[in-house]
Amino acid sequence: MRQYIRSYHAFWPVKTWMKLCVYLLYPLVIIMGLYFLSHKLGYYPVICMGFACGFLVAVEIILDYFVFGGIASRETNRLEYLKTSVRGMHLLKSSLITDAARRFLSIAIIIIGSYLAIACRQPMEYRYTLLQLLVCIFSTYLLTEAGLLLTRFFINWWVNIAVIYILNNAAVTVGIFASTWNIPIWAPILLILLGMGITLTGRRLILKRMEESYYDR
Amino acid sequence: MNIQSVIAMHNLTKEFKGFALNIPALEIPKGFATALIGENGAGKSTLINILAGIRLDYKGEIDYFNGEKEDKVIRENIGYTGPGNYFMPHWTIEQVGEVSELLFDQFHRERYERLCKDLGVKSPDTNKKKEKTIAKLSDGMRMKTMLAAVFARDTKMLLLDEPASPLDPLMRDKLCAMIRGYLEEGNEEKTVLFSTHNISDMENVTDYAIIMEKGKIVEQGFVEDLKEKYILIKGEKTDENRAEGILLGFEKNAYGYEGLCLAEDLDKLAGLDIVTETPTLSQISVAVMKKYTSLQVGG
Repeated sequence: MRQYIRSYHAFWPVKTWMKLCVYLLYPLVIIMGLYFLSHKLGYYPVICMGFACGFLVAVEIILDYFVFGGIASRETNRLEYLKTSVRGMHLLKSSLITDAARRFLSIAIIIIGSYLAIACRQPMEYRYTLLQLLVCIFSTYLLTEAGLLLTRFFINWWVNIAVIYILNNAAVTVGIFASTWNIPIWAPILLILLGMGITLTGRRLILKRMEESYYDR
Repeated sequence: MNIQSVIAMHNLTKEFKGFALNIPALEIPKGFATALIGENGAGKSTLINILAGIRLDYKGEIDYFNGEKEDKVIRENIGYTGPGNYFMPHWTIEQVGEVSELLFDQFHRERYERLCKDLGVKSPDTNKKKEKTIAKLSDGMRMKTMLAAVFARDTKMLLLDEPASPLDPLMRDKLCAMIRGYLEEGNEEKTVLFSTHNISDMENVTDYAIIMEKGKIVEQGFVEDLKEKYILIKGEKTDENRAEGILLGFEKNAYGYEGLCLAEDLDKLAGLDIVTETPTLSQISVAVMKKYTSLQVGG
């Protein structure tokens, strides 16, 4: 576990700031920001939940740009230094797995934390059911992973912006309307399976790109 | 003198994009600095990439370190630098050190930090917050970072692809000193193979030369032996026509002509008014490459 985390952090630029930001600042900023919007400025809780989902998609894609952004693009996919070591591929694999796990936990904790901050002292009609919350968490994760599937193949910052714009709107929509949906029990299961499927596909494509770079075409 | 080989290749071939590498047999001598010389597109990088294990699409056999088969041991003992996409563009110099610690058992972080300072990649009073990413470094700084990373490891062999190309003259001199230091420290157990298309910068550190052209080895040998094999001939204008067919790299100038002659062919120039000199490795390389190149060269 420690080795996996160390491998993952090795890809982080400006380590101290990044750790502070990812593990402390951005979760706190989102949760406290939404608390402020909801309790001080009077925004409806469902709107705040939509904001939470949208912010998460945007922030995660932006953060990933500085870690794995463009890692599977034609410009960077050779990574000759990793290939000179017998551990190179394993380092990349373990970093990608750890990144996905960290992202899922971050999204889950922040959405739950945001909901608790927003929903406390709110009337019952503004509360989310467990299934509705799970849909928010899993769909945010799914949309983020879908975005990363694209942004990791292009090193161009404008691709990131376009992807964030589209997926951010989708995540906000889910976050707002999930409170009105009658969610069947299979929906969160389907969403998490789709999310994991995209994660595994993205990881597989990146590793395949790196394996292909051992061969000149 | 019994010369061992650190790498031995047999029937090494690779074809792609209209280029074919074809090396029936080649041995890199152990304990020496070998220069792989050739013009652009000769196949130097292709060969070095194959030896470094970062290109696997080839046919033939490669024997490392006298029969070592374990990939981990081979890769741990080879340090490679090359052009192209070597590091992640957003990595900092600090990150290169951290990743190297994870990738290689015999990487010494303190040695890396010291080399970075010695090579000017990091100034002694660098503020970490202002550390540049690899993408923002110049080609020369990037090469220095690569060199710091490989020299910070305990290896048996260095494979350096065009290490001198992006470096300034002062740093090229420093690189030659680093290579000499590496070989001396190894006590004939360490080897360096570097490629270059400008041998004059690295001549003073080269012990063995391999000249490539169009994917084939066209000449090889210890530098001292090559300097005995070839003689630099300078002659008068009146004898140009007779000398042209005998000399390699024949060139006319204002005073006459010059070119290289095989020592065994010296008697063919009998009767001509000539001056003989020992050629430099650079002159030998150019003359041999001219013989095999498809470029239109004057002379």
